[in-house]
Formats: sequence, structure tokens, C-alpha cells
Amino acid sequence: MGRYRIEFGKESGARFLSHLELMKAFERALRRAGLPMAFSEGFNPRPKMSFASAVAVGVTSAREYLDLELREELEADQVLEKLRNTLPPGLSVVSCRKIPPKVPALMAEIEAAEYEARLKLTDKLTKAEIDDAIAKLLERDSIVVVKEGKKGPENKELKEGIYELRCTAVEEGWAHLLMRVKSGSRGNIRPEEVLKALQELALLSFEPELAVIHRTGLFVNRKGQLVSPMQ
Amino acid sequence: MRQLIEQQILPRVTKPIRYQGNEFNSVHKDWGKAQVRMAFAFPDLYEVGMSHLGLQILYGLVNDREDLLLERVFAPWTDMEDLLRRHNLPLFSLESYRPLRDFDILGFTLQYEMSFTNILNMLDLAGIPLRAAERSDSFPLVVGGGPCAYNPEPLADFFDFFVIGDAEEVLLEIMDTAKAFKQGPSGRIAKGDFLAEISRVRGIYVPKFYEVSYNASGGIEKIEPVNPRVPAKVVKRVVKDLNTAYFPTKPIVPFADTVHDRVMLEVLRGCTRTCRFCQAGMIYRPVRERDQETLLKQAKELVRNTGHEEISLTSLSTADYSCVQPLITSLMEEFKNEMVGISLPSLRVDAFSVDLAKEIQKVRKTGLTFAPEAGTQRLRDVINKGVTEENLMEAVAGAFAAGWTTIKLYFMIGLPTETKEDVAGIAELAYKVLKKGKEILKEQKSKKSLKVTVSVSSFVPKSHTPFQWVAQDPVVMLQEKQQYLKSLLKDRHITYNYHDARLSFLEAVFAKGDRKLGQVLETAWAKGCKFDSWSEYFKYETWLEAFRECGIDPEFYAYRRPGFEETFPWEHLHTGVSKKYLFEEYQKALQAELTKDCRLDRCPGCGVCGDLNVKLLLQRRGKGGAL
Ligand code: SF4
Repeated sequence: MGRYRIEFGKESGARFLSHLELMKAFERALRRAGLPMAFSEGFNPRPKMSFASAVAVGVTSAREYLDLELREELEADQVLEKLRNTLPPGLSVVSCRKIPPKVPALMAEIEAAEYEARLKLTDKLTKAEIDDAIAKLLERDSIVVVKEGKKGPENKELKEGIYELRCTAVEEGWAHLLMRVKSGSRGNIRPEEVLKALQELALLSFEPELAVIHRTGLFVNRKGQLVSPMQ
Repeated sequence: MRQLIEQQILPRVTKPIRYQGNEFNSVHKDWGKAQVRMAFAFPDLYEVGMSHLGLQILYGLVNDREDLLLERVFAPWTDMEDLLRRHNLPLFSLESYRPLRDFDILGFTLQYEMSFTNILNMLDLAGIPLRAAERSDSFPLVVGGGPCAYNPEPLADFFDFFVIGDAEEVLLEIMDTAKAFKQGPSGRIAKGDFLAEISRVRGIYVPKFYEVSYNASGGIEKIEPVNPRVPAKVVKRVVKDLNTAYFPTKPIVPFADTVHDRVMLEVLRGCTRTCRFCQAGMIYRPVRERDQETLLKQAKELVRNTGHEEISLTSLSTADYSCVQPLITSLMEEFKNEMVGISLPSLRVDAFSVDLAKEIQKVRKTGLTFAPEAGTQRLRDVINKGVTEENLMEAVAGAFAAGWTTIKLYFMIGLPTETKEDVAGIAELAYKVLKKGKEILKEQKSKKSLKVTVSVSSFVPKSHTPFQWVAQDPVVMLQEKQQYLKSLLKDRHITYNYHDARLSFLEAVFAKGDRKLGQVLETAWAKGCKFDSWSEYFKYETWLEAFRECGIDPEFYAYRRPGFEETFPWEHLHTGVSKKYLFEEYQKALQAELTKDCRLDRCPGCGVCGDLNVKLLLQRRGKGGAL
């Protein structure tokens, strides 16, 4: 038995994969690689594989994580090498390390996520004007957006979950933003929700459908510090 | 173009993954190096088209050749279509995102009649004139193949040529001929010369070289070649031995959930059970089995190259494979560590099939489906289903005993000679199955709940079958039968569903249609008909309007009972099965007389083996299980 943590990227065309499709793509890549997957018991055996978090359809990501169990113990480098050759275009493994059996599930550990967003502005705005709009948004006591919940529309408070939000550049009508938000099973803020708040509450106008969102990192909390799950 | 579509269009459509084209094992060739470039078009959604084995076979076959290229295109869903039109973008191939216009050949697979409007829509979206006569050499050649190519007459105006029979036999010949006829600096194919040449190749039908004349009553007087150099009858192509035939072991692995998201291992082709309504059983003759070693080797390569978690043993009737038991045993042994499941897409109505299902579904237990097709023994004999109530009861008893609790039963209404008793028989059979299930569950002291699904389609007479002489039941009569059955099936454990009878009517019209229907298709499409088999887009009234405008009576095709002497619109396309044999089968049907399977009994003389110089290729004679 071996347990592994893998860091991977989801770019270009693969960004359109849903979470389920992503899981399936990995399972198939593992089988093509001839890696001895461990399976769950029961009527519908699944490979023992768990992902850190689901990234939305259309969003690219430089750093995603998954934990994997194998029936045999291989070197981490071997796992990495084999997977490199069998992943479909758009998915790429960055690194892999062995983890001890007692490390808690990835999903339970994730605390925050970082994103870059590019917005096609509908008005001619300068960086200063955007900085201003963001500052006004963050100064509010409450940042509430409406999201589609299971039982119809729900209000969602974002205020506590936005750790960082700033404009890094404005270029040819596109604004570049960086945001760090709460993520994981103890509360999750989606980048689209922050953008919605910018549009509705800060009155920043851009074409929401054309927003390009890229996840640059996922973090776990180690003694009060946000660090990569690979550490 | 790719950049524009990926950035501006795909983020706005549902399931953009359908248009992404970069799946594992997809082939991206150097456009400039390919000497003949073909696009394979499936006139339905990606999820449907990617489940089609023929596509994977031809994709591998052509792309294995260095000088050729084959890319894919599917019907875009309406949101995608709207955006393409709004941005003035032409329909493009998935691999290279090139406009379809840029290809030398555009090949449509014709799987079902109700996809015909999608073909016109795709041509239009590609900026290609619909009618072959209006396309100069600067447009691609448009070719069709697949089961509906056996009566392609309603499409004759829109296509340059058709392939009749197994395409892996002839596609490379077509592309090599195209290569020879590419000319000039533009490098386009000289269509006139190409068609003259290709029309002499066996299995190729060039509709413009055949003239159809009609008689006073609207039927066909004769169909004749316009010049002596093309054959009077186009004979289908047939792969004699599947063991040596091309088979792709690196199929594309879709990201998206497709209808059949698994490895397809084709164990045999053809079926000789002679169900008299079944077109596939006639056009795919004779039966050719692959040998076990070949299958095992292919299965291993397929799993290694795709990583799929399931292998589906495909054919018209896999339980008929003469070595099915040992094949399944060795596949299970081979893949037990990797948790690769095996599945049979179609089950025969007998205990033997249930045993097979039991064996392979140790891991995953899905529902079981049986197709008795008709409710009474008399009617099952009419259609030559060769299944008794006893067979069915034994099979379901086996299934319930083995722990299955959901069973699906397939039936047809509107079959020739059907009476009220036959329709009621469907309900009776469903109740018997339910009762059997209750008994067995009671014995086992099980508290599980039972579910019997009765799925009823309407009979559609098809070309090249014994029932091509049959008139379809009128829509209202089919609807009455559907409602009658509904009134009989009132039990919370029974789920009843049925197809739109109006769709079955149009299917019959086009299945038996002639060239006059081309204008109807074009009119209906122009009025907005597309995705007809998707109930949310089916516009029956619009179809009727189109028929009226063209002055064509659809009932003529579906409701008339043709005589033996009648010349059918597909008379010049030959499957190898003789018309005489089909008519004899029709007569036997009316007497409820059975015909046995030639695999296990004497040859009743359908004509294929002698006429096409082929033979049944079985791995083991006469041991295919009980008949
Ligand atoms: S010719 Fe005879 S043996 Fe051959 S498929 Fe027809 S019925 Fe069967």
C-alpha cells in the first residue's frame, strides 16, 4: 500500500471539464499508466482517489491536488513519470510525494484559494478607478450577493471570506485582478461571487460571461500559516 | 478561429467540452502534409455520435495512413448554433477548428431517418450549398454511409455519392481515387471525373447517374442507370473476415459523458435470427464472428490505450457468439485486478443470457432488459421472434432469483396482423412478470421493491425487410393502442412509456421514401425543423405543412400496402438478400410460420452467401446456446 499526494494543473481545453469528468479522466489516465490502483469495496468499486476541491467549469488552474492510494508501494517519482505520459492534453502533473497513512483527507484541510481574473471592461476605466471601486466594496460592513441555492435564491455574505482583493493591472480594456478567498468545507467563496459583488455593489461594469478565471493556488492552514498542501 | 471560439463562444454555451476536440487519442495531423482531407460528420450531438463504433473504426483507419486525414464534426446544440450564426462563423471540425468547406470530402453517417434535417442544417451552417448540383468543384464532395444509405433516396439531391455496406472495405479506395483526381493550383477534386470513376467501384452509389421514372399512381415505374458504364444494381460491400479486418485499438477517449462511455469490443457482425421487422438483421448478413484470441488481444490493447473501466461486448446479439462463455471467463480473469467490468448491451430472452449477465455483473448490477417485442405467441411467431412465454418467464425468474429487482421489457405495437388481444397480451405478460417477481421475493423474504418497465415503440416498416410490403398503422390507431395499453397497466410497480407515434410515422415515410421527398426535407428544414428525435424540438405541424406545400402526401409512403411486383425506391441497391426470399418471409409471417436461424439449422436461402461470395464465419458450429 502506498499513499500519494499529487499536484496538477488544469489548463486550456481541459478547463471545460466538470469535476466528475475530471475524476474520470484521472481514473483512466491511472489505468493507462498501469498504476496499481486501490479500490473501494462494495457494489460499485471506485479507485481510492480524493480531490482537494472542485474547480468550476471554465476555470483554469495551475495548482490542484489529489490524494491517491495504490495497492503497491512505488517511488513517488515513478508515479509522476508514468502519469506524465498518459494524461490527456490540458492536464499535467507537477509533483508527487508520498504521504503517511494518517494525514487527514485533503478536502477537510483546504482553507483558502487564490485566483487571477481577467475582466473585459465595458467602460474605459483606469487602474486607479478600479482600485477605488474595490476599496469601496471592501469598506462595506456587509457584502451580500444572491446565489442560486438548492431551494431557490439565497443570500450569501462574502465579507469575512475575502482575504485579499486587488487590481494588478489594466491593459487594452482588460482589468487584471488578484483575489484570495476562503475555500473548503468550512465555507467556500467562489470567484464568480466576488465578481458579482464587484458588478452589483461596486458598479464595476464588465462582461461577466467573458471573465477569464485562473486558480493560482490552494492553501491549507499549518499553525496559523497558509501553505501549499504539498508542504 | 480556434482562439476566437474558445474565448468568445465556448464560455457561453452549455457543455463546451463537446466542442473541445482535444481528447486523449484524438489525432491532430499536419494539415499541409495530408493529401486528402475528410471530415466525418455525425448529424447529432457529440454525446450520441461519440458512442458510435463506426466513427472510431474509420477515424483510426484513415488517420493511420500518413497521406490522409480524418477529423470529426457533430451537430452543434442550438445555443452553439445561434452563437456561430450571430458571429458569422462557419461550422468547423473539432481537431483543427477548420471550416468544413476546406475539406475535400465531407462524410455523413446515416444512422436514423430523423437525423436528416440535421444534415441539411450542418451543410448550411458550413456555408455549403445543400444540393449537390449547386456545388462547384470548390466545395467538398459530400458522401453518406451507414444503415440509412440502403435507402438514401430522400437524400439523393443533397449527396454526391453513397457507400453501401461495410465502409472499412471501401473508404481508402475512395480517398485514393480522390487523391488521383485532385488538380490545379487550388488542389480541388475534379468532381465530374471523380464520380464517373468511383461509380464503377462496388458498393458506391452515385444518385445522379440513375434516373427514376414514376407511374401514374405515383409509384416507381423504373430506376435505370443513365449510362452503360455504371452498374444497374449497386451491390453492398462486405468484410469477409473480421479477424483480418481493420480494428482501432486506440479509440478516442471522450471527456464528456457519452451515451456509451466504454470500450466497444465488436465480437461479431450480422445476425441471422430473421426477426422480420429488423433491417439490421438483413443488411448486415452474413454472421461473421471474431476469434477469441483476436478479441482478447484487442481487449487488452483497448484497455491499456484508453483506461476505460468497462468493456462492452457489442453486436446485434452478443449472447449468440458461439464462444461467449469462454470469452467472458477469460476477459474476467484478465481484468480482475483492474476492476474493469464487462457488459452485454443486448440480452436474449432466455435463461442462458441471464446466467451470462449474472456472471459479468458481479461487480455492478444495473437493470436488465428483455425484448419479447409482442404480447402473444401468435404475434411473436408472425415476426419470427422465436421466443416463448416460457423462455421469458424462465429468464425473469432467473433474474429475480439472482437479485435483480428492476426489469425492462421492450415491445412494439402496430405489428402486422395485430389485434386487440395482442395489445392486451403485452399487459398480461407484464403482470405475469411482476407476479413472478413477487413470488420469488416472498420466498426470499426480501423487502426490496420491484419495478417492471414496459417500453413500447411503434412498428416502422423498413426497406430491405420482409415487412417492406406492410402498411403502417395510422397515427390515430397507434395512439389508441397506446392509450388502451395505458388503461391496462395501472399498477404502481409498472412503469409504462411509449414513443410519439407521429415521429414513427415520419420515420416510416422517410424509411420508405423516394427522391420526391428531398424537397420536403428542405422545406421542413427551412421552416426550422432540426433535432427531430429530440422531443423538445420535434415540430410535427411544421412537417405536415412542408408536405402540403410540396404537394406530397406522406401517407402514400407509410400507409400504402405495396404489391410484390412494385418497384421500390431502393430496388437498385442490393444487400445480397433476394427480394424473393423477403417476400417468402412476408408470406410466412402472415401464416405465423417460423424460420430457423441458419447458424443452427439448414440454410433457408436468403441469398447473401452465394450472391456476395461470402459465408457464415462461426468459431464453433451449432453451440451458440439454446434456440
Ligand atoms: S445464404 Fe443461407 S447461410 Fe447465408 S446468411 Fe442467408 S440464410 Fe444464412
